[in-house]
Amino acid sequence: MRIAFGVTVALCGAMVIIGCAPTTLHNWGRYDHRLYQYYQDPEAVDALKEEIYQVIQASEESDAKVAPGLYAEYGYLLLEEGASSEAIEFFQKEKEEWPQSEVYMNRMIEASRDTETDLDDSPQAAQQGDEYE
Amino acid sequence: MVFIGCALTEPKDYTAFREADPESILVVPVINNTVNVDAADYFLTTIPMPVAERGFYVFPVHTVKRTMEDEGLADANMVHDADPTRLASLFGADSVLYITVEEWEARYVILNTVVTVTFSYRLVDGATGVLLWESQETMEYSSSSGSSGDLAADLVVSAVSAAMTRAAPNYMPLARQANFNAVTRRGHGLPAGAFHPAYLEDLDEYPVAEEDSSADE
Repeated sequence: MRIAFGVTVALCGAMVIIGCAPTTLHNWGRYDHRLYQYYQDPEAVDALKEEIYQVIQASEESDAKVAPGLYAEYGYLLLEEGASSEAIEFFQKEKEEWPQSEVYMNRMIEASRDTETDLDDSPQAAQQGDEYE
Repeated sequence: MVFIGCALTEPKDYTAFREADPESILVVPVINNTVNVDAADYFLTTIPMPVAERGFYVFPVHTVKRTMEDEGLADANMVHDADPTRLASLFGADSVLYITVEEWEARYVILNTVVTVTFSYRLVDGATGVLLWESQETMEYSSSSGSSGDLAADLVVSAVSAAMTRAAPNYMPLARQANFNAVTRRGHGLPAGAFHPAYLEDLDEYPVAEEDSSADE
């Protein structure tokens, strides 16, 4: 629609940080859009996870500092899936990339370790143990 | 047509901000004063980027939201009333950003849909609870775009446009623009943070109050 396009162009011109202009401090990809979609529909969690992962990869490959919070957000999504040791790796990365997050990431790592311990006590873990006998 | 609502005046007093010099900002659950129940969550997705782009470490908003829910701190009103220094120390944050969604609505006014978002912001020092920065921002979008001279055509265009906007109000672009304006407005937004190239180069634009100010105290 003519009107919608006009507004989009005006907003795009004014919104320097949302991918319309070349220089931003950080690479965010479509993280905010995917998070919005996830809040609209929890089924969209995979797309969110995939997006964050892609953005992290792209930043690492170009030797750029990963944007604030992205390692942690990815770690949290892993934690929700039960992948606690992987989650810890990402909370660790957030802490290394952004020392400002240290107190919080230590808490998240602690919480993830508690989850790991719970999983060790679970019937699933006991079953896995049997497989190796 | 997009309207920006905020009159430009003298720069704010950044004395407290400059003294605190926060590197990190924790965004806590957002208060929703509207009837649109999704507004707070949707708004949350639009805040990290503009604030981080000003050069601050912004804590991961989704992880923080879930952490706070797990710890019984999901109620935004309760969180906004709680001691900011306790919240800040839980997360190791230099400062805490409190936001309220005041408006998030689409009004249908014959052949025109007007979408309005309004947010109020308060940034508070994590160590002392002192107010560092506050602001309010409104963005409005009106689906009508003037006339072509052909009344019949105009009526059709207006009706379609209003209906389309009413069916899918463009809250999100408006929210992003409002946040961008709020944090980047010279003399009224956030000074460049520690991770921004202009850090401490904008002391004139975001000034400390003069000691011999003649303003009434």
